[in-house]
Amino acid sequence: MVQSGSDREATLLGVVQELEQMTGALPRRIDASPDQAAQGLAKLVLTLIELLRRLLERQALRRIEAGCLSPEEIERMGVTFLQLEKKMAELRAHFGLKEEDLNVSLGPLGDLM
Amino acid sequence: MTAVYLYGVVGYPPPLARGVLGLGDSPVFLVGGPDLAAVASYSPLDLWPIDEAHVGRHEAVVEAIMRDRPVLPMRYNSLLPGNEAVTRFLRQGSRALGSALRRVGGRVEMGLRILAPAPGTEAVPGLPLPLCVRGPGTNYLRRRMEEERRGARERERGQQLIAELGALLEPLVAESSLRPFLTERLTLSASYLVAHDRVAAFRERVGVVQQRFSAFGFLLTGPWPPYHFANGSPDGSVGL
Amino acid sequence: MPERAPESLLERQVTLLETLDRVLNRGVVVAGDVTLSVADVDLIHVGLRLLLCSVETAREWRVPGTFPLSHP
Repeated sequence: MVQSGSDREATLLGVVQELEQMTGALPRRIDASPDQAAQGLAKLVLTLIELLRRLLERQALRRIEAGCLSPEEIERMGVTFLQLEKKMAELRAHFGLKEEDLNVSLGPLGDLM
Repeated sequence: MTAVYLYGVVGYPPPLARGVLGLGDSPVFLVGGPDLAAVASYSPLDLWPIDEAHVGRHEAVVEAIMRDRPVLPMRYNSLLPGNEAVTRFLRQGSRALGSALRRVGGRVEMGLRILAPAPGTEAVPGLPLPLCVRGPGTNYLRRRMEEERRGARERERGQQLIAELGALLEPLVAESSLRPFLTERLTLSASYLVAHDRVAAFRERVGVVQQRFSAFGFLLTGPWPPYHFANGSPDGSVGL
Repeated sequence: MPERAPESLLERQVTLLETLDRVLNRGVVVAGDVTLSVADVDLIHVGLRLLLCSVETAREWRVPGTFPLSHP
């Protein structure tokens, strides 16, 4: 594709980052060493929890949009999600995982909700 | 124990050009016949490592064959225990392999990735009223809803792009394998099977769509061996 | 690999990722004795990961750390 230099660089970089994020989202083999095994397992479990957390959040947003929650209920729910997010950050840090390590694209799954 | 490593399946003959070296610098030869043959080399019975040099060698062999005849590329690390097993593989798959080979003949694979612009941070108007109340929980949910809405808007534009692109490329393309939204920013990952003499026109039309959607990044690669079209139908397996 | 002309590091990385996507995930698959016996061994190692990906895809990760793909 003929593109001017800096645009092309930005596109190349963006594509590399997205592809690496995808491959990073799949836990690597968990048999290498006890250390890595624990991290691999943590990654798998945290990825699933993160997926559920995001699905729940989406569900909550749907209900807010539908207008069936009072301001107090919204605030309470928001605080819960906020705490859940903090807890996840702690767990990630504990296992030496970055945010993008658990990044699951909801993609088509998002449409199922 | 020695095994046979497979690079691709071709119609048979003519013989291969001499001097093509496969994995482990082992010479590449043809097994099979009379209608189909596998391009192969001898190899230890063990999986080859996944790194740039080894995967690159597999790809280089396939591309070397592609230069003088149609080829169905094999997946990396396709090993069989001996030449008889290769002949059996060719015989058992002869109908499917033959028809796939006819489909890819005279055509190449072109790859296209389309990248959406990085998400902005501007406020999104029209949020539900209760979200305007102050409070850390409500603030959090408002931020999340803005993200969702921005994402939805990007997605809509991406879908429009995919539709326009599809309509414009359709007359030039024999087959396509489309993977939309593999990640939030990767609007489209696509492979197209394009006749040799249409590659220039294909590039041009992709350029037209790129100008219409200039905020998106377009990355066109190829020509590739027809990896995405080597089997009966484009599959939807997990990939990059 | 296509467009072999002088490549920047980024271009080389993209070419590699694009090549891997094709060579590891696509192409004709042999379902032979050897593949199966290798897969059996792999199945034991891979375990839980099968939840998320196929054996073929899982096998991509058998050599950790040698690749720009992985973040060791």
